[in-house]
Amino acid sequence: MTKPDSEHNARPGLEGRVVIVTGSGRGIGRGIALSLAARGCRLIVTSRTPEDLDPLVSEIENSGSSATAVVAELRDPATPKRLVEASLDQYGRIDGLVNNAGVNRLAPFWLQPDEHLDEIIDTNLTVPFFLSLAVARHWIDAGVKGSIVNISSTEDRIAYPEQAPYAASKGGLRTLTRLLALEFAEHDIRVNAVSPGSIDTEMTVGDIRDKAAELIPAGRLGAPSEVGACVAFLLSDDSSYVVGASLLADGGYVLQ
Amino acid sequence: MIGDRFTGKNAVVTGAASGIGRATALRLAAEGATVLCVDRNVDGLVDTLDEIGSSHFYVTADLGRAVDCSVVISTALDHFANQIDVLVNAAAVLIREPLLEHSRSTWEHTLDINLRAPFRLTRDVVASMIPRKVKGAIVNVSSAEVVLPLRGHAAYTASKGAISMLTKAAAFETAPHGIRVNAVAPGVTATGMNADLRQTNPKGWDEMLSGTPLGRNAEPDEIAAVIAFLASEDASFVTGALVAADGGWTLH
Repeated sequence: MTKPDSEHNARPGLEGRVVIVTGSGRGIGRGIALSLAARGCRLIVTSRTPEDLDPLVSEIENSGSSATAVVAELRDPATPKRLVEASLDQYGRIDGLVNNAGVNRLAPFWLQPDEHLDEIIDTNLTVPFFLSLAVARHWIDAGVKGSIVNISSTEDRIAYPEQAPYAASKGGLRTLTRLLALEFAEHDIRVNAVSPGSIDTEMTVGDIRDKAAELIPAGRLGAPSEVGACVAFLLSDDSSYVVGASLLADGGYVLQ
Repeated sequence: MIGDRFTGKNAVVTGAASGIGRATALRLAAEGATVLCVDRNVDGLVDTLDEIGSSHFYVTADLGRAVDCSVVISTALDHFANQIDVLVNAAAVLIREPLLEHSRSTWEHTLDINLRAPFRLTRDVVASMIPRKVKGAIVNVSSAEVVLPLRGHAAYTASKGAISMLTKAAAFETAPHGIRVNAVAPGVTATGMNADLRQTNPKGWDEMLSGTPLGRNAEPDEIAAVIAFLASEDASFVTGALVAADGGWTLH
């Protein structure tokens, strides 16, 4: 792994870096995309739903940065190659990958159907694995460095009710992050994870929103931009010696 | 110190044709359980049954198939008059492939056997326990690789990380019903999973042993002893735990 160019100096930021963010149409992924764009990244944003991507791309382009929408079914085995090619066609390079897309289905453990397990494991664990391999292959072939950030969850270490398949997927993703980090380090590819707690998105409903002040030590939900800032750090050269980390962004939730 | 902790208990053990699964079947039977042994390998199952005696049962199953998982549970409920007290998910596969060459078939097969099968079996056993108020115990076999992954083991490592969190999630939800779910995380253990490695790459095997502070590999019965503890009333307040049995492998 190469050393940073300079020591104890302010590092150049993410200006001009090209980053693929999956599942960026809504929720945390949208927040991550906006955070990265605000720091000068050029983005490939993906979603199954074009209606979610169009306003995001407009918002990013109005702010003076660049984003390209790719409507993609991530569970399709052809998608990783498509996303790599889209980024190279559009920008001629890839610097980072954020495996954000995720899905959850609630049911008591003993009533979780196989379909939930398959959808959740495919989307949250298999997709990040094969997309990481596709992007890493490009980096290794091109002889360039890169950074991968997997969006995990506090549920990679603590249990919540009615989410057993999701817990399994995130436990697997946390471990996979460490394995990818170990194996890719020699290629100057860093792999890390961010484990968000309860973040303020349209999908956050129920007690955690209504009683956030009581339930979360920080006294509030997290903002998507606060996850985005962690992702930006792990993509940037400020984290050049951070390998296989799992960065909690949960307002202290798992401490209690 | 083999006791009689499973007298009158009915146990299902997967992967019982060899290795940790067989050692667990032997241990639970020695302590009084009636055991349904599950594996793909019928010859190995017959050998296990020869050792533990004719009061036990076996069923052959390809746990990669959802329908076979269902058959295992219905067979167990038939044999055991609808009461399963213990489930041990020991069946697993390890396919070594360089990371960048990891294939979809390796990935999916590994997740099928190491994650989806334990998920289905645990789910269905729990579903049988709750209405009958059986205060049962489930033990999963994870791996020290959850803490220290090994190169070339991507699918295996991911599956073991997943089963570790599945253990906690299942433990959390079933605790109000008095059901316990735990996992053991073995280190270097001499089983069929690594027999090839010991023969073809003794140097690699020795390196693994040198990474084990106790300076040797585990025998399967040493892992079975931990599984038996977790499945027994001795562990009555232990749930959602991931118990390392790795000779100190993950200390450094």
